[in-house]
Order: sequence, then C-alpha cells, then structure tokens
Amino acid sequence: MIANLFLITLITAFVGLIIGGKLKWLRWVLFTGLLTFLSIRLWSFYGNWGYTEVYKVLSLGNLNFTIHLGITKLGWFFAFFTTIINLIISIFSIQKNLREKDEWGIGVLWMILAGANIAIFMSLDWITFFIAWEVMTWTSYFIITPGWKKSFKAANYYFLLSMFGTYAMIIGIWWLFSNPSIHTLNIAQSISGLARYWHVSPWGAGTVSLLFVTAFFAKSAVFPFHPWPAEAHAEAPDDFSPYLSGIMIKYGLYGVVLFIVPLFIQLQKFGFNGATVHGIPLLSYLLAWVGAITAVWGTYKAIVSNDMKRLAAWSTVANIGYATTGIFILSSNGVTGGIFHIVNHAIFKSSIFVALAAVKYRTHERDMHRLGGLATKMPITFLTFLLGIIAAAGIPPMNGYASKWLIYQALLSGKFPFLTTMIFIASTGAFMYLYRALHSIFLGQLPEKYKNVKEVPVLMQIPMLLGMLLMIGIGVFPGYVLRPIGQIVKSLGLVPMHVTNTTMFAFLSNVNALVVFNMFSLSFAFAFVLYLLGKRRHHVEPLDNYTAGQNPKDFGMTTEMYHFALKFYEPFANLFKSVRIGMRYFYDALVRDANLIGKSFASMFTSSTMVSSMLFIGGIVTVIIVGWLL
Amino acid sequence: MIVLKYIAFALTSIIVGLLFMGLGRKYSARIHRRYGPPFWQSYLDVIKLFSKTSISHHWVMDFGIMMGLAGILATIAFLPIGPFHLFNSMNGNIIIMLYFMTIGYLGMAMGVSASGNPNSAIGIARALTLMLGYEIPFVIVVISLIFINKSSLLSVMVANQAGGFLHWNMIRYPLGFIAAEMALQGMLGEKPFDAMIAPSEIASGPMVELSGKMMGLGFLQHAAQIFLETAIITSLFLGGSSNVWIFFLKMFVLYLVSLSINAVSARFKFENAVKWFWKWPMALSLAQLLIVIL
Repeated sequence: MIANLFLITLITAFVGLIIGGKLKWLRWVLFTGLLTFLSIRLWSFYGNWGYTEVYKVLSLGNLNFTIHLGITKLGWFFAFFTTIINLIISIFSIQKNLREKDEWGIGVLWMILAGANIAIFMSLDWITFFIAWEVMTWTSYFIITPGWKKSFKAANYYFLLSMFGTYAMIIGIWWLFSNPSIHTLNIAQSISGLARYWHVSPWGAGTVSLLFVTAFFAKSAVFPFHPWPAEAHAEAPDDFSPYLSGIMIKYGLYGVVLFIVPLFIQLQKFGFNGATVHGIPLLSYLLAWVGAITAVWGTYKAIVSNDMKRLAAWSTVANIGYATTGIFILSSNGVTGGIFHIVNHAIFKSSIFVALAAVKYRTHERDMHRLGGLATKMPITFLTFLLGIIAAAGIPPMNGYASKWLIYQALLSGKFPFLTTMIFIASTGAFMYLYRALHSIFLGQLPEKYKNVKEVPVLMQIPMLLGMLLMIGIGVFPGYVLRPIGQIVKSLGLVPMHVTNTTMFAFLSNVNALVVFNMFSLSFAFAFVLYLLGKRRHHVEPLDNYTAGQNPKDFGMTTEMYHFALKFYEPFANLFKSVRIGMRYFYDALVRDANLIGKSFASMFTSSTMVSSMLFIGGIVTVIIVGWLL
Repeated sequence: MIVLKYIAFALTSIIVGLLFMGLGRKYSARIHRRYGPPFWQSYLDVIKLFSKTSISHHWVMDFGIMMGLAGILATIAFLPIGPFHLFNSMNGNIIIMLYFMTIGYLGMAMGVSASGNPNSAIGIARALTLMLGYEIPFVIVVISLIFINKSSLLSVMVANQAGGFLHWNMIRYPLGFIAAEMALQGMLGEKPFDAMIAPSEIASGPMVELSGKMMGLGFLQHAAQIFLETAIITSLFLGGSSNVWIFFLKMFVLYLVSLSINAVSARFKFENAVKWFWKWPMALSLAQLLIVIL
C-alpha cells in the first residue's frame, strides 16, 4: 500500500524524464497530478494506525537489510500536510516553468523528492529513514543548483552542512545498532532502549542523542547551522524556495519530535536522576535556549538584509527557533505549540515565498530597494503577502498567532521568564523586518520601469488564494488542526490540551479565535462607517507629495529616488556595530577548504591515468584489508 | 447585544481619549505659560477633519488607516473598563492584547507608507525601532506580573490588588512600575521619545500625507491608543477600579505624568532612545523579575 506510492512516484518521474519538446508543460501538470494522487491516497490512510509493511532487500550472512514502512500518527500528519502544501505550490510551478530553460531536471527530481518526503515520514527503522533522508538531500541539492553559478555556491553551503549532519546521524545509528544493550534499528525500540541506557551511562547516551540532535539541527538550520537558508533559499529556483522554506526545513524538527522528544519524555517519566531545570532535563532546557538564540539571531539578520528572499529565509530561521524552543519545553502546550507552529509556518512562509516568486516573475528583481508601489499593480500578490506577514508576525486573527500563543503559554506556565523574553524580542523584531519588506516591495513609490507591470496569470493566483484561505481558516478554526496534533501529543505520552473548533484552553487563559476574528471584523466595520461618514476623498498621484511647497520633480526627483527603502534600519544596525560574531566567516572558510580539497582530489584523478588507476587499486585494497580486519 | 456593548466600548474609548487629549493640551499650555485651547478643542478638530475633503494616493492608504483604527478598537473590546467587560473568559487577556495592538500599528504603518512620502516611511522606521526598545522592558514587567498572579487576565490582576492603596502593584512592585511608566512614555510617543513624529525634522513623520478624514481617523486612533495604554497600566499597577469614573481618573493622572515629562524634556535621537530603553527600564524590569522569581 505504501510502497505503491513510491512505485507510482518513480514511474511518473520516469515519464517526466522522457517528456520534452512541445509537450514539456505536461511534465508540471503531471507533477500536480502526482501530488493530487498522493494526497488522496494519504487521506485514505487516515486511521490505519499501526499498519506496517516489511520488505527484505538483502541478506548478508546474519545481517538482514529490511525496509520497514508504516503509518504512525505523527508520520501521517506530517506526510499529509506537506503533500498538500506541495500540491498548492506545484500549481504555481506549472505557469512559472513554461518559459524556463533548466526546468527539465528540476521537475523530475522534485517528483522523486515528493516521494522521499513521504518515505521519511513513513519509515519505521533507521536504515529506511536514512536512505529517504539521503535521497531528499541529494535531490534537493541538484534542484537548488541546476547549473547556475551563484546557486552552486549556495548549494555547496547547504550540502556541506547537511553532510555534516548526515555523518553525525550515521554514527549515531551505528552506535545504536552496535551497542549490545540496545542493538536495534527500529526507531520506537531504540527510543526506549536509549532511555534505559541513559541510567547506565548518562554521558554516553547524552552524546548519542546529541549526535542525532546535530543531524536534525543541521537540516533545520538551528544555531549553529543557521547560515545555510539565507544562501540556499535565496538562490534556489523561485518556485522551489516555498518548498524549501516551508517544508524541507521542517524535516529536522520532525526528527526531533520523532526521536528526541519521546526520549526525554520517557526519561522524565521513569525517574530522571540527572540535572533538571523546572522539571525538564538540563539538556532539553539548553536545547530550548539554542532555539531561542536561533530566533533572536535570525530576526536580527532579517532586519539588516536587503534581499527579499534572504529576508524571508532569515525569517524562516527565526520561526524554526520558536518552534524548537516550544518543543523542548516538553510540556503538552509546548509540544503542541511547536508542531502547530511548524504547520502554520509551512503555510504562511510558502505563501510569502510564492508571493515573492510572483513579484520576481514580473519584475526579475530581488533587491527590495529597487522595487516599490506594486500593491496597485498586483493586488492579489499584495494581499497574500500582507496576510502572510500578519500571520508571520503572530498577529490575530491569522494562523501564526495561535501557535505563538501556545508557545507563550508553555513558556509562562513552565516558569521560563528569560526564554519568554527572548521569544518576545524575536517576535517584536519580526514586525520590524516584515513591515520593511511590505513597504519596500508593495508600498511607497512605483518605479517608472514597472509602470506596465501586470498581475500574475490566474494559474499563479490560485495557490495564493488557497494560501490566504488556509491562513485565515486555521487562524479562525485552530481546533481542526489542533485535534490531530493532540492525537500525536497523546501518542508521545503527554496529556493533549483541551480544544474545541475555535477555542484553545490553556493553563493561564483561553482564547476563542472566532470571537477574536469577529471583534476585528466588527471594529473594521466601525472604522469603515466612520470612513463613509467623512467627506469624499480625491485620488492624487503618489509623487504629488507634501514637500514644503516644492514639486519633487523640480529638484530632479524620480520615483526611484523618492522611495525610502535602502538602509531602512541602518541606525538600528549601527547599534550592534561593535558586536560582530563571524559565524559566516567560519563557514565560508569551511566551504572554501572543502572545495580546495575536492579540487585536489579531482586533479589527482584527471591528471594522469597512471595515478588514477593506482588510487583506484589502492582504494580497493584498503577496503578489503579494513573489512578483513574488522 | 454584544454588538451594542462593543459600540459603547468603542465610543467611550474615543470620547474619553479625546477628552484626555483636550485637557492635556490645556495642561501642557499652562506649563508653558500659554493660555491654551479650550478642552473641547479635540472634538471640534475631529468634526472639522471629517467635514473636509481629503486626498488619498492609494487604495491601500484608505484600507490601512481604517485597519489602524480597527486594530486598536478591537483590542479595547478585550479590555476591562472599570466594572465593564465584553467577554468573561478573555477579560483582559494581556498577551492577546499586546499582539492585537500590533495590527493597529501595522494598519497605520501600511496606510501612511502607501502614500509614498519618504518622511512617513522614515517616521515608521523610527517608530518600529523604538517599539523594539520599549516593548522588551514592558514585556518583562508583564511576565513578572503574570508569574505573580498565575494568570494572564487583567481582570484577575485587578482582583488581586483589591483592598486599598497598599495592595496596588505600584506599591508592591515599585521597580516594575517605574519601568512600565518609562515604557508608557515611549508607547504614547511623548518626548523624549517622539523621534517618529519630530515635526521639525521629518514634517510630522507618519502624519505628513494625511488630510481630512484620513487625519481624522488617525486622530481617533491616537485617542483610542491613549485610552488603551493608560488603561492597561492602570489595571496592571494602579489596582483598576470598580467605579468607572475613578478608573478614568487614574488613567488621566498617568497621562498627566507623561505630559509633564513631555512638556519639559527635549527629543532623544531614536537609536539613543533604544539604547536608553535597553539600559535603565530593562535593568529595573529585570531586577523586578529576579525579585519575583527568587
């Protein structure tokens, strides 16, 4: 049942591979079709909890390589919502890739990636998980860089950090398997095994869980792996950025919820004898702080960036920080809020990135200060972006606030005042950079050269409309998403929080989202009546501004020069001039060195046949000797 | 019923806020040894503004200005005004209110920056930077109060302060009160933290392009904002009140304190203001938080 999905994905990818010429638009329609099919199938899987499939791939002596696939509540939930969001994004891709040159490989690889996406969420053992994880890393690497020079550098960045995480994970898996008291590849069994082993050797078990945390944090760009989204999300193809930022960055947090959180919860339940802070293990508390630092750092970087896709990427880093903090609080509200924020972020950030892709589709521009005033020309894009930033800033009645509110409840009722403050700093800062993006791209003066810009075609508007609908819908009726999350939280061993369709109940207070929404609508109606009561307004061209009696055109002002957008928060950035922590320089040097080593290896192979054949033979001999010795 | 009650809330906040503004103008004038306008001048101003034609550059401008007023009024719906409140379960949920206020700021910011005047965009950039300055100490104070009361409802906090002057949080937690009072000065945008308006530098900043009813709506938003912000501080620190007139009186005293500082001080550069906020009110609020949790 599950394996069929992958078979169909591969067949579709093959068909996509051979389509070409005049029929190339069909590839992207096929992609949308595939995702529709996958969504429907996944929907029908709902309720089959505990269903498993086992495939024996290879047996070597007493080693059996088997693939375990299954449906868990956590996995199904993630698989379903990511596929739905991918489906929404893919509608945008149909139109976007009509005139693209390098879309052939992207399309095919993205189909495989959609399959790997489901495989990650449906795998029950570490080998399957690892294979799916690797397929995801490789395909996304080649999608980010379809041969473009700038994106190649960015993708290297991404790939190097991912590789680092992957090595950490494979060492962790190997350790889990080779340790005689655990000796399992099954994910669920390894959790309880590791929890038991924690009492034997806390340092050993702690190190192994940190290896996994490294792998997951590297994928999710949590501090200290935060720099890659700003490179990779910004340079990736415009229609892939929503997927990258909305879904792919969440795999790490999925891993955390899959493995680390149940581990800590089991420790908590069965008498944890190590250090605790306010009832949660010290390690978990420290990781929550790592999340908070990520949130603040990402926010600061977003405030000072001028490239719109970079800004959105840094905002993603910050949001991952909130979710990480919420999850590591390990309380029912915290884990629920964290998972809910993952879902909400996937929705609003992919909407934001789709809107940015639409802007770039029409203007071919990424620097915010070169844009401006597009709201009248592209109203649907503007509204999508507006709702997106309202959600991202956590303002009611959009979906972002519900999850942020839950994270606050968790932090406040768990007595973490300083973490709460950190999250609040990040949240207020979010308002700064989001407004800046809104102003610089859509408001202010419209540059002369964009006088004739039109709204994007209907096919691109559909995903934006769907995104808006989801943002408002989940904001007003959070219960529909919170109930399945409650099931997951229950399966993790926590007490699910009490929710109705519109009301969330927590320890400190409760919120009825529908009432909040109604109050806003009522207030808006009130303001609108006042607006209608006033005397009528005239429309005046934006350049016809108040300038103390002078005409801007008289002193040589063009609309471009009159748009205040460049160095928007420079005085603020100057406040931190003396504080420069150069994480980026470190990673830059790392990428440079890795490239250098790679090049010297490549030159060894290509310089002469003699050397390369020697190396080849030497390699084989080494492998045999090492294998024989072990 | 709830709609009527809501309209009463909205109108009260606007009328009282305008009254505060009018009285405040008289008060400032007397400090400056001027005669000052009559206290009903703000009502006349609003009526005048709504009866003049206005200019608009953009449909987003109209939309944003309306959203600005709507955001503040929607927040007031969750505010307990003396003995009155709209919803039992969300009676002054401070976290929701802090976030809901932001939609008012966003609306205003969006409206004025749609006008395309760089002065207004500069003003908003300053205002948002300043917001990062004063929100943080204020939130730390709010967090410590939430810890004390084990609830994020203003109504519960007010109930816990019942029983006379000595039970007010202002007396019990003086450091937090001073920090919140400093933050209030920034929230109200009074000197020394009025760099976002700064008439002599950036021509009134955000308001530069507003005229007629746009200006009128902005004026109403400001009135409602004064009402909301002083009411929050009153409920947090001055023990609220079961008598609505005493509640308004307490709010007015807070506003007068703010105006007194305004009348005698000069303008901070806004980045220096942020630094100042992160130094003194922050230190006070953190000290208060430490006292509370230890």
